[in-house]
Amino acid sequence: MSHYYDAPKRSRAPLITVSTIVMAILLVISLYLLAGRENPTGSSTIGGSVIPSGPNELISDKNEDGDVRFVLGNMFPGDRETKKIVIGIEDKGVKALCFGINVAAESANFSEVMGITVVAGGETLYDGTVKNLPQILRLEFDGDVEEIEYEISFYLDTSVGNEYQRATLTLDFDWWVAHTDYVAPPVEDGTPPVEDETPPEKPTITIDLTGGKDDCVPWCIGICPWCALLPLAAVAAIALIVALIFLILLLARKKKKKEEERAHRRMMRDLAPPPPPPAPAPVPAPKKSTGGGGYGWAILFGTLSIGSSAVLSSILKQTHKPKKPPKPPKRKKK
Amino acid sequence: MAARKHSRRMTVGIILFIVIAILLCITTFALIYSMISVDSHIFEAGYVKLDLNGGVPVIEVDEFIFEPGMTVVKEFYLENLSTWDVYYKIYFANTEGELADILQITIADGEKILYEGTATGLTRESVKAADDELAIGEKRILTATFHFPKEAGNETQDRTLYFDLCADATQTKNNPERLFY
Repeated sequence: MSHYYDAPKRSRAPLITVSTIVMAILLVISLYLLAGRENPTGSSTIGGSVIPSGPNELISDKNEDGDVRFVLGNMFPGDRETKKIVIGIEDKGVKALCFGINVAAESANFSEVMGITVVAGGETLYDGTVKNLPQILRLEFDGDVEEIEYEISFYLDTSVGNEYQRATLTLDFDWWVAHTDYVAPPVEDGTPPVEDETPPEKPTITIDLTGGKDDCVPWCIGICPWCALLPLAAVAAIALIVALIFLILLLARKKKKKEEERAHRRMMRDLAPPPPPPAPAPVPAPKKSTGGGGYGWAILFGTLSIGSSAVLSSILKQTHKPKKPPKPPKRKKK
Repeated sequence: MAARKHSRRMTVGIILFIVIAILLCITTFALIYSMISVDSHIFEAGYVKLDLNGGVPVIEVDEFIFEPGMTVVKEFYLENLSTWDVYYKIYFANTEGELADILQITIADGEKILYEGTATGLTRESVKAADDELAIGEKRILTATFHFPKEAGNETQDRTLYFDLCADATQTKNNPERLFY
């Protein structure tokens, strides 16, 4: 005799699919943002707000009371504006501070004529147009530096022509740290540096013109020393525990359902007169499910997205649907 | 059978979802970890724009028939539509006709004479910026006086003059030498 399982409605399965697709899209976006900026004149916008610093962060914005955002309107040739931005460094293992600019939006190729000067640690890191700015300006130092002041100036040369009237430009600034050691740039003919070439002992300032070394790419920060992996590992461990709890509870529920079906069939076989078909069981609210308090704890530790709750509700609704009454067994003739 | 298949599909879907969620957690954490951003720095260029009499000619074709000693005064306006104060200059372009070297033209701002000469002498290259500035949004009424000299001879009879009256402006900001580009 076959046992019955509640056939799910067609809308339940796509719900999980949709949730998974949404998560996958978010993952792709997150990976793209991590990939960093390849072209300073790209048109994508990153963020829109200042990320606040915390006590455990490697670097912090020390300008909480000051206005460090450039908002320059009605610019004419010859205009120049300078701001100082102080970046605090709280991790002594930091080898270098990286700075990058992204062109979030522009018109009339304004970045081709907008001049920028970046001065840090008393040295001029760059002086030229925004369009020709290297992807990363790297400032090397030893681990005892507590803060670095960046003096950034934007200007329009007097030779800028009439075609740039009413032009606009929007920029985003990013700072991040690098933990790897200094890597000497290759010699001009492309051969790697000789083995006995050692990095300078005094803090130096280098400009990365190759489009970004691996140790200065955002996703590498904090990965190299093992202590920085611990927070990441903690997050991954919590997510894995949640996943295991979900799976265990799902398997337990299936097992229980099978046993209940078996017991019901046994009962039906033993009874002489066929019992009246049982009334359909009412559909309980999800929070009153017989899965126990485990679901509540699972949700507490749960993943970050809305799809997890959608998946949970779909599972619960499916398993508590009213069952079809079993057919009464045929009576044997005496 | 179908129920078992469905159950398996559900399990796979859930596992896949959880794996992607884990990856998203990791990438999100890596993205915000140890990075400081100051976003939305905005830069915008100003512009220079003039309105010269609304594009309406100062003096119409065949409006007057000049005779020796005759003087005609016409008013016109110059308005600064720029985002900054400007220097300006007024000149004649595309000049045609035999009267171009004869008719005396004076451009004045009230009592103050800005330019004086013939149409061929008041070109873009030859005139300089007016001494004063035109403030943002200012609309100034100027006068153009056309005088046919009394001593003009008979050879000037039945002669004509066609011209374009033009105005250029340049911002006063960072421009102490009043350079026009």
